[in-house]
Amino acid sequence: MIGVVSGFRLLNSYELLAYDLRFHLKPPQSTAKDIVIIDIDDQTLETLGRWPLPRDFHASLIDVLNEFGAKSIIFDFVFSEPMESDHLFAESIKNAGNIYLPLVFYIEASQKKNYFLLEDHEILADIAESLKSSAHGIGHINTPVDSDGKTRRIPLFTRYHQKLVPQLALKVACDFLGVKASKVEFKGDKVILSNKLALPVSNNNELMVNYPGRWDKSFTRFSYLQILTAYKNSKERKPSSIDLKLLKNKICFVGLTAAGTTDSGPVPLENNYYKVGVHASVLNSIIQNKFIRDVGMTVNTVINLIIFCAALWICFNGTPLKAFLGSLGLGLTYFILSVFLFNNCGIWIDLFFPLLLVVVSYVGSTSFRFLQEIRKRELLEKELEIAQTIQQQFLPKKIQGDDGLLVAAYMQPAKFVAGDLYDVVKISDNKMGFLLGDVAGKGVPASLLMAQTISLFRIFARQETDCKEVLGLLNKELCGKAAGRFVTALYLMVDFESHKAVLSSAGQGPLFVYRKKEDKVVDVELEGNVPLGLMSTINYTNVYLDIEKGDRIILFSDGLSEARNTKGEEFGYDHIKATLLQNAGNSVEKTLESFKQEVSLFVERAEQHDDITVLIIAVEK
Amino acid sequence: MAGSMYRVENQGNITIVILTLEGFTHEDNDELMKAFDELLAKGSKKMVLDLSETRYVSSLILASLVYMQKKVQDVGGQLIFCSIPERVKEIMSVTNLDKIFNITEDRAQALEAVVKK
Repeated sequence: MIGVVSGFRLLNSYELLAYDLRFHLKPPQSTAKDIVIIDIDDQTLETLGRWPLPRDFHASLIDVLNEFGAKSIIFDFVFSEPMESDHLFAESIKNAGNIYLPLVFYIEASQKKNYFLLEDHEILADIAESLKSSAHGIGHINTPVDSDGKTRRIPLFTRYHQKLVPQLALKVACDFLGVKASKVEFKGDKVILSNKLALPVSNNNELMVNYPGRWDKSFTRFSYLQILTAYKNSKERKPSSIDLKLLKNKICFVGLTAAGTTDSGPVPLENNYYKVGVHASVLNSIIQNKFIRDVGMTVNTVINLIIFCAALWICFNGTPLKAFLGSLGLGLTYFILSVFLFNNCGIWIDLFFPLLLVVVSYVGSTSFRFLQEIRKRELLEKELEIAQTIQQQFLPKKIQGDDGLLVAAYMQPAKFVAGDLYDVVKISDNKMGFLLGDVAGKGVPASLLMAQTISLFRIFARQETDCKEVLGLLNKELCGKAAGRFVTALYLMVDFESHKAVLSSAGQGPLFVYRKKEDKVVDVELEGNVPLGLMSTINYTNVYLDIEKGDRIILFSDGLSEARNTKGEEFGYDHIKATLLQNAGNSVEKTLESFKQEVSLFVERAEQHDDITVLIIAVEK
Repeated sequence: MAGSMYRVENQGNITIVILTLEGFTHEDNDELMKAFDELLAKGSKKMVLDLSETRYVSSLILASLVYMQKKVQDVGGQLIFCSIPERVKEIMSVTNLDKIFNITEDRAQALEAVVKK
C-alpha cells in the first residue's frame, strides 16, 4: 500500500505543498552575476505607450545593450504578428547576432506523462518570418503548471515536426557553456546533451525550477525605460540614473512586468511571479549547476518503508510516553533532514507521506495498545469474578442459627474480592462461635489471606473452646506468613443456655449489644490486643458478657462505621446504634436489610472505599 | 520516597518523614515501601514519622506503617511516630496498634526520644 501511494503519487497535492514549504525555509541563494532582467514595467508603458510596444523601441534597446557589451539578449514575449517597424527590429537583431526569440506551443489542458516528447505539438505563437531568420537562437517559453496552478517545472524540450525544440533558457545556457545540443539523450532521471551537460529531470524531460528567491530579492533588474533614458542622457551629457557599463557581458532577459499583465503566475515562493523570472531562474540553475533533483518513485517508496518500519518499532517498543516522544523525534528528525537535503543538496524527497506514516503508526499503535488493555481488563475482570465466586465459597452459605440464636450476616466487598471475613461455627448443642475479621488492605492479596485465615479458624475452633486461645493459635500461624499484612479479628462465643458470652479481640471492634431489658444499645468494653500476624508472643485476653433473651449483638467491620457519603461524612457508631435500636423488634433478616438500606441512603453515589461486613445475633431463648 | 505523598527533612543524623498520603492506592503503597527501603539502605536509621498532615489512615496504610516499624527494627534503628491527629489516633487505638508503635505527642518530643535511645 505504501508503494501504491508513493508510486502513484496519491498524495501529490500535499507533497507539492511540502515542496513549497521547503522553498520558504530555504535561505535566498546568490544568482549568477551574468544574468540581469530588463523590466517592461508600468513606468515604461506609461511613457512609451500601450502594450505591445512599437518594435523600434526593442531595436533601440538591442542597439544600446550591444553598444555597452551585453553578452546576449533574450526576449520573453512573442513577436508572432508582423508590425510596422519590423524591418528596423530585424536589422538590429541581425547586427547584434546575440538575440534569442521565443515560441509558444499549444498545450492541452490534460497532460500525460512525457507529454512534450511523445507527440508533435502545434505552435501557438510563432515568430514573424522577418525576425526568425535573424535570431541567433530560438526556444520555447511554455511554462506548464501543476495541479494547483503553480509553475514548478519546465519541459526542457518540445517536439515539433519530429524535431526537438529546446526551452529558451536551455538554448541560452548551452551557448553560454559552449555545449551544442546536437545529441540529446533522455535517461529517465537526467538529460545528457552531447555527453557534456547532464541535467537532472523528472518524468524524463522536466527540469525542476530552482527559484533563487522571491521576485524582488533575486536577480539584478533594470527598467527598460531607464536604459533608453540613460542612453539618451549619456549622449546629451546629462546625468543618468543607471550606469550602462554595468550591462557589459550580461545575459539580459527582457520581460513584461507591468502590473495587471497576464505574464505572471504563482510559484512555490509567491503567488505573483513574472514568467521572465522563471526563465532567468532556469538559466541561473544550469550555469551555476544548482539543481533540484527529484529522487523518484523507487527511492521515495524505500524511504517511506524505512520510516514506517522505524515508526512501528518505536511505537511498539517502550511505554506510551516513549512511543509519543520517539514518534515526535522521528518526525522532527526526518523533517529537518528533508529540509537540509533540499537546501544544501537540492534533493527533493517526499515529506508529507513519511510524516503521515509516523502519525498513523503512532495513532494505530496507541489504539492497538488501548484495545489490548481493554482485552486484558476484561480477562482480569473475568478472573476476579471467578476469585469472587471462590471466595464466597469460604463464607458460610447458610447461617443456621439454633432455637436459641438467630443469626444474619452480609458482606459487601469494595472491589471484586474482599479482605473482610466472617464465619459461624457450631461448637456444641447450645454454643455457637462467631468470627469477624478484616485483613489489612484490599483486593486479591487481602482476599487470599482472608481465605487462609478462615481455613485456619475452622481448624482451631474445633480444637480449642477458649476464644483467646483460638486467636493465639491463629496469630502464631499468621506471623511471618502474612506478607507484611495483619488481620484484625474478634471471636465471640455465645452459650444461650447459660446466657453467657465470651469474646476475645485482636484489634477488632467495637462491639455493641442491644439490651432488651433497658431498651438501649451499650458498648462492650474490649480488652483489645494487637492484630493477628504482627507479634508471635502476644497473649490475648477474654471478655465475659451476660446475655438475656431478646438481646441483640452486632459485629461489624470498620467499612460500616467508616462508610462515607459524597460530603466525606462517615456513617459512624451513633448511626449503627440507632439503626440497631430502631430494629429491636424486627427479625435479624429485616434488621440486616435495614442496615443495608441505611448505608445505601447515607452514601448515595459515593464510591465504596472499604469492605462492609455486618453480623447480627439475636438471643431468642 | 514516592512523589507528593511525603516530604523528607533532615536534622543531623535524624531523618524526619512527613506523610500526607492523599488518595493513597495499592500502587502508591508499593512505591512508598520501595522508597522507604531505599532510605534505609542509604543509612537512615534514626527516623521520625510525622503524621501531622495525615488526615486518614486505611488498613493498607496501617499495614505499611507496621512494615516500616519492623524494617527499622530489623536494621537496629529507631522509628518514632509523632503529631498523630485525633482521628488517626482513634483508628490506631481501635486496632491496638498504638501498643506496638512508639508514639510521642509532637516532633520535639520525638526528636528527643530518638536522640536518647
